[in-house]
Amino acid sequence: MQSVLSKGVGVILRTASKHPHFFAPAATTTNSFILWETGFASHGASKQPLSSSPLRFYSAKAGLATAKDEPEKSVFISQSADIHTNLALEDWLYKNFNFENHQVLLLWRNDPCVVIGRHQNPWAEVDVNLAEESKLTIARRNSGGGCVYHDRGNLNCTFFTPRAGYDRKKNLEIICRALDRQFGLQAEVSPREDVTLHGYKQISGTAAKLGKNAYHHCTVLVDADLKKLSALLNPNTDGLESKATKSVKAPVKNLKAANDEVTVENALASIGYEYLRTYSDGNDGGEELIQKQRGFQMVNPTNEWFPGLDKIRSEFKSWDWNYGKTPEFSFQRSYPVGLGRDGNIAANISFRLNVVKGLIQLATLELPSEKQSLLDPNTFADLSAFINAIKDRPFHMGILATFEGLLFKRNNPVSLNVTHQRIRESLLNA
Amino acid sequence: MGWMSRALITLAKSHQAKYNVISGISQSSRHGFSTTSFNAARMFTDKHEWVDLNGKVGTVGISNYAQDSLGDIVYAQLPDVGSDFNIQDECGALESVKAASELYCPVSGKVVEKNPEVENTPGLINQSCYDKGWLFRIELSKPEEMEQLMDEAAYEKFLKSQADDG
Repeated sequence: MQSVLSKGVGVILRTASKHPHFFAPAATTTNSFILWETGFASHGASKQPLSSSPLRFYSAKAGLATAKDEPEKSVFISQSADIHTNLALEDWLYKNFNFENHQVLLLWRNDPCVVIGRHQNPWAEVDVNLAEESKLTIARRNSGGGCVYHDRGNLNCTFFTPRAGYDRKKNLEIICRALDRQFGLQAEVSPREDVTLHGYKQISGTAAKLGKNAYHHCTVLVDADLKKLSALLNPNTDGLESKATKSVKAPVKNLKAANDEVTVENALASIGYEYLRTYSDGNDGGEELIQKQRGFQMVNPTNEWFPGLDKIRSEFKSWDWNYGKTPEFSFQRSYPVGLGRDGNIAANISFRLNVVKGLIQLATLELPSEKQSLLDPNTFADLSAFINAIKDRPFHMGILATFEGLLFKRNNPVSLNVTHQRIRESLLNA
Repeated sequence: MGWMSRALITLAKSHQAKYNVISGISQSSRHGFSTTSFNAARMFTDKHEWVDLNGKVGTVGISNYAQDSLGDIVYAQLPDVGSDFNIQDECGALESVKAASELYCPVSGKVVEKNPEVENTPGLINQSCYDKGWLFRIELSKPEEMEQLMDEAAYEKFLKSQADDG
């Protein structure tokens, strides 16, 4: 078995040899997860795919007796890397699962995307133009908190409990202990309940959702593209005013930069094991406790396994959710019109949008009436037509560009040739 | 800009006020109420919401215990006026320290008003959960549901039993 596995998963191998039940030989690939479906306590190391028994984990009886009142634990590993699918899976478990006697840690990762908090404004948090140009999804999640960047170098951990069992600090301590045990990294839980390395560099961001059940989820930066992260999460927000939850910016670091042995795969395994060996009061139960748990389970987030998942997924994918749920905001920018003889600006024209549920509720143009002569009458007519046309339309950054184009076309006819056609195009793209 | 800076000033003021309030709550009364907030008509749910019925319309908010356990509330997502809810439906959310907590509708009915002050300054909920920090008003479609709710004394007893269990 050892010869089959490459050194790329060496750390898992070491653990694997201690817990042979968790693994089946990964004969063909060394990159993908070698954790196989289990339910090992009662079923042994079966390689049979779970699809033959959808939702078995959900109704299965405990395989081994556990300490009284101590819930059993499972680690679910999502086999999807699609943000909407994973958010839907998380939401499905939150809404449908009973975590009283069976607690779950869901581990998942995504293709590159930006994820904003439930009450955030995407335009205030993300360079939406850059995201669109790079065909990168912006997804709104259901929990509170700030904006994060995901890619395959980032691991997401969702700790599900009943509402009464919700304890973010305990969960983050599991992550810290795992990083220490496996990689000798001294991470700590910050006062804001994030995980930091070397005192200040954040390697993890936390958020939570509380209802009848609760979940706490966090990112773990292992080998994410930090350049992309910082380019995307620093938009120009001049003129944007909003009551939406604002992200707290923090310097970040990849675990791999602190210890180059860390990979998403072995970070996933070590956090999973640490979760299984930890009692719900936070104490270490060691190997013995791991043997009593249900173990690791690959989870395939499909409608067959999770009836209704497709519907939740399409809601997470919709414009109404991602942009329509943006808290009311306004956008206002001023532009100079006309230069006096001394070269000073003669007046400012101000353009203001009030956006409710992602739609432009009110668009206004302001120029002191005595200065209206500074504006070419055709330009004025164009701008008036424009602000009438955009009412009740979805807000997007292109509207500002179009406005600027209309305003400056006659001042600079060579570089800008803006017509009503362009207004129409801009609206069609909305 | 004007309204925002005004809002910020209000927020700063409310924070000041809030810390005074907090420092006034002793540990022993953490789960209790000051006598000045006593209101015979105010009824509570086991999800820590309160309803104060006036005719057919009930004013809804969250309890002192709830605001204290949530911590600083930074965003209030309130139900839209005109929307209908059944008892215990999810009808909004309060966000505090990175957690979005669901709000449950304590009684069935139609939302007739929401509190814009709380939307502008969510800290009001921490500062004045029974007065300025009310969330919305609802016209009850099943007034008999009020009978299922707890009065203040019963709610206090409920909190105590929860604390003993925990």
